[in-house]
Amino acid sequence: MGRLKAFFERVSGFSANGLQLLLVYLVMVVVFSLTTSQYFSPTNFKLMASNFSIGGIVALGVFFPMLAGVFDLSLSGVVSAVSVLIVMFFNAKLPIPLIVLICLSIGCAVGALNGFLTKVVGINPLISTIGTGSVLGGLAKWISTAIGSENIYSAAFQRIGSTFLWKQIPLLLIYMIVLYVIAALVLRHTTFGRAIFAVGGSFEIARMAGVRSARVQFLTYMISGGMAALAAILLTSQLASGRPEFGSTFTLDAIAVCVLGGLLLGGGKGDLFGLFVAVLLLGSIANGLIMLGFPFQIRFIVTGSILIVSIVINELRYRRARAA
Amino acid sequence: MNDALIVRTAAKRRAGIPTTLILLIALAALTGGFAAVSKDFYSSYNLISMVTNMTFLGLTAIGFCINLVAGEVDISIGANIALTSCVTAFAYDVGLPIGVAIACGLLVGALLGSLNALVITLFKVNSLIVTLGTMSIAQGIAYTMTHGLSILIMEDTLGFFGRGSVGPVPFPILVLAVLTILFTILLNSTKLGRTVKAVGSNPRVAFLSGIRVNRVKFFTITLCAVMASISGLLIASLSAVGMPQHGIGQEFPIISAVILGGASLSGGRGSVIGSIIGILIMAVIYNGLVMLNIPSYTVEMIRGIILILIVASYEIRDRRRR
Repeated sequence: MGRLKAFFERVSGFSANGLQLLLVYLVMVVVFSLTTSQYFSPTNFKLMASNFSIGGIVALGVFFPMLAGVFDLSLSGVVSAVSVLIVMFFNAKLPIPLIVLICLSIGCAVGALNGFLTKVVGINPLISTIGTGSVLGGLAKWISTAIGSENIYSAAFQRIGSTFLWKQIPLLLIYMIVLYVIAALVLRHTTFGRAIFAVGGSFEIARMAGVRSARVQFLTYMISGGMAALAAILLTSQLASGRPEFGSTFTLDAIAVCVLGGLLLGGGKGDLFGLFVAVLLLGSIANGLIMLGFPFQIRFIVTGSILIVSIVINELRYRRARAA
Repeated sequence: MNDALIVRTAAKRRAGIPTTLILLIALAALTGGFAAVSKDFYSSYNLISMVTNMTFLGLTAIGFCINLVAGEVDISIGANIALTSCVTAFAYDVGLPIGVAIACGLLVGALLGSLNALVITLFKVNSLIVTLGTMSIAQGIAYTMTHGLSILIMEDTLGFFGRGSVGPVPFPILVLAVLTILFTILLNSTKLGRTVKAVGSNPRVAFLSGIRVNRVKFFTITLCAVMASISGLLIASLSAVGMPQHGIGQEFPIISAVILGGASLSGGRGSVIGSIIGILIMAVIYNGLVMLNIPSYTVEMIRGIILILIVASYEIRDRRRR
């Protein structure tokens, strides 16, 4: 096992923690396949893939600020607000490309606002992003009540999120994989990507070494906001409607998945392979437990427990690595 | 003594006393303002019910404030309120005597707090993220246990806690007043209080001077959870039901109020009385908005804006002082 880990790390450049997580995932798939009748079926895997892909994109977004050492808790608000705004834009008969463009800009603008509040005004990032999240959540409910409709009747728009390639592979999964590959390349091969690790490791040391730490964190907020907006577009397209409750679970899920994937809470350590497997894992636990007959709300308990347990495991692992 | 020092001392003196006074003036101004525009707001029935209803926020705010002084933030307070109310109502509903039911509720709240405290102190991780996790767990348990519905709890002993009164004074207001005084004394005039402040302002120095930092934090984090749990009992008593929607979103007014009351997000500073006045201000704002027929979703927006504005203005003020 030790040699396999070393080989994996050398060849892929990712941490082998993701490999252990992959093992856990496979065990879980086997367990659920044996205990429930519907789990191991192409239809269910298609369903799961289209569900976790959207959560996976939000998680990828928040991975950036968390790696840089700051938090973004406004994701739920962004998803809700954008999904409702899309309905409003359709009612105003705007063309689809323009809608997509406006929504992505809104996401980035919210990210910039978060960046402004934390880096320029200097508010604790957790508090400021909780605040912006709440404002957006309220805004979503307000707009939704004001426009009084939720459904979107546009086949072209629905195709963005509900197409299956060769009737089997959800297009959402492809989007997610492409985004992960791009993100991995950015993190590994660009100055900006390396700077994120440096800033997360130590804000001050990175600054002294000539990295504009505050600007890096500011930009990661914009990435996070933009990705949440993208996820909202895909979700709204998949469900052909926009509602203010759509976002509610995303913030916690995304953070739990990041930490499960091996991201250190203080920042500076984490990799995308682990994150990817963590997304698969959380998606399949939620799905499997519901198939076993648990109520939907069990997912809150599962997500919360995963977050706490992963924090503990990461800290223990980090301490051991430092001691060695 | 040179001039700069005199100016600085004067500035310190000026900054020291008035925070509470300014808050009281703000409270009076807001009350007056709303009273002028809304007759419903200024009715004695509304004022008394408003103050009674805010008592449960006040109890939580006391615990939150002391925990924040020690440098930790607990965002699971709302979920803790919900869980305690559900557990108590559930236990009473299955036929346990009320004393046991109340004990169950408090025990669950305290356990949640100890779980927070254990993870935070043992691994020295960000308390807000840890409590975000326990918040989700507590909410999930509360929902699963009640299937998202409310459980009736009509009982006189518990009922007295929220709806009883001693003479003309509603009982919960009396409890809040007594606890506010007790915890103000605890924080300002006892060794424990000074230890908490020391831990919050600089944990490293506190550790080096022989304070058991982890033990103090364990105490404050658990205290915060227990106070939230007591609030859960209070709201179960006030509304006569235990339900998972109790307390949700109440983190916002509580954090806003505690910071408005003079606490610093980075720890070491805070005032119990200030927090309670802060809670009163929040209660007046929310109640006033409702009386002006502003819909609840707008209130959700406004509370986010209030939180950001308060924290931002205090942050800017602190920086200028430095």
